[in-house]
Amino acid sequence: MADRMSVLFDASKCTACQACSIACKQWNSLPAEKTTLTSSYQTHQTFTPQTWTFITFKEVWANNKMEWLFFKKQCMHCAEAACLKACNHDAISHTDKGFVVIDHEKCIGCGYCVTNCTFNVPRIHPKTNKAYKCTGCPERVSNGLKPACVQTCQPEALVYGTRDEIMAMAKNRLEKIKPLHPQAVLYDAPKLEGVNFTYILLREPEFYQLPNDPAVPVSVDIWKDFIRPFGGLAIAGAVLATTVGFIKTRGQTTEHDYASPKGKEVGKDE
Amino acid sequence: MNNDRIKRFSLVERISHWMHTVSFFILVLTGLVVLTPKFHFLASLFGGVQETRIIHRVAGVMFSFGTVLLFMIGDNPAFVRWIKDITTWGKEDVAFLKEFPKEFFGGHANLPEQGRFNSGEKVNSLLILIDGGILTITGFMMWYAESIPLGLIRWAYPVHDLAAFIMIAVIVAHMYLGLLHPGSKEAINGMLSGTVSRSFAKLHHAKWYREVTQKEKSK
Repeated sequence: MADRMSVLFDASKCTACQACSIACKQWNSLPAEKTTLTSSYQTHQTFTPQTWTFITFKEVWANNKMEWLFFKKQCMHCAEAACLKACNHDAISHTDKGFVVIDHEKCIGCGYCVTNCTFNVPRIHPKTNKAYKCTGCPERVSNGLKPACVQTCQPEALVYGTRDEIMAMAKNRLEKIKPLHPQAVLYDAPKLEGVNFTYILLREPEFYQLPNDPAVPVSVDIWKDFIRPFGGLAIAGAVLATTVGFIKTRGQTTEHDYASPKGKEVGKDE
Repeated sequence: MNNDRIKRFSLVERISHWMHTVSFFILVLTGLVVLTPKFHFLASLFGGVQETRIIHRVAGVMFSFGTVLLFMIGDNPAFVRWIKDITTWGKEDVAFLKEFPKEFFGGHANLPEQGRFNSGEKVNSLLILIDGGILTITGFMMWYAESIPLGLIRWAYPVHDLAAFIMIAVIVAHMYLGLLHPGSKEAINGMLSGTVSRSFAKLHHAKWYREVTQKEKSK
């Protein structure tokens, strides 16, 4: 995709002001949701049909230092998207900029994308029966603007550009922060052919509860690439066999050669 | 029982069979709506996509617990006898199954005597029971997906699909044999009126026919 755009989240710059969460709500006209007060600043624990991005806060005491690590959760916009593959209704597709979007005209709310998403992102709204997640702000992006979260990020922890620009920028930045954050990594997901939401993480992915080498679940591949075609063949085979059987038995009666110890009488036509 | 017919299936057996049949067709039609957008038009039969999904689950309960409980409780002796029949296998069954394709495609087969259910019918019953069980379990898993661990629920979809395809293929053959195949189409009467012709029974289920006529004589 020559036009493939990406967003970089740089954990070394994020201040967890959560303006990105609010910008997303404002741009998409999503209501605030009632949450539970915990002993953390983290306001949301999981995605909902109306909360498409939020910041996670993790406190870690290591090397005599207190580290407070922030992470922005939203749809990863995978190039190889498990949700897309799992969808039975062609409701999920990539925009020309490479973001994964759900078409709500087609979505029937079956929830297959929810359970098969590598990152467990989409959520079904119980009233509209549709799946919702970060859209990548297609209406902004197609008009030359940045996604709402990126636009509002004051410390510039979120950067938007072409995939090549973003990847180069990320690699440079990673080098720069290594002295201060020796365990920093670039999280890109090669098995998914890259994610359009790329991360500079300050610690290993498991720490942020991210899968280490994310891939489309094997079950989705087996399901769509083998079982579906096989199933179609099995039914076609059954129809073919019965058609052939029907043709070849035209004109026959119930006469058969059933073996019988009482002699041939039982086995003959009556 | 009059002279040219013999009782084959009780009222409960027949009702539970047809309940199974009707719920199966509803499951296939509603399932097709969710399977692919190509069959989305079928949703209008049921009043919309969400209604279709609800009806699929209701029919699923009917298909599984409904028919099995009806059979098990309504005619327990027949149910127990059925389970015994389909789990009793011998050399003659292997011989029958080997010869059967000839019979299916219009040739002359050398088929050993059969009991109440021939080997093919036993295979059919076992497939329906096992495959139906798999469909039921994976179906309920998907129904309550939020309560099932992700690693497990992800396998429910391909397994449910596979089991459904197999079930449809089996039923295509089952319907053909019961309705159209000259050698076996008398069988449908067993499921409708409950009786089959004596000549059919003598020919196709000789062992069973002998048991039944011996009982008749001893009355």
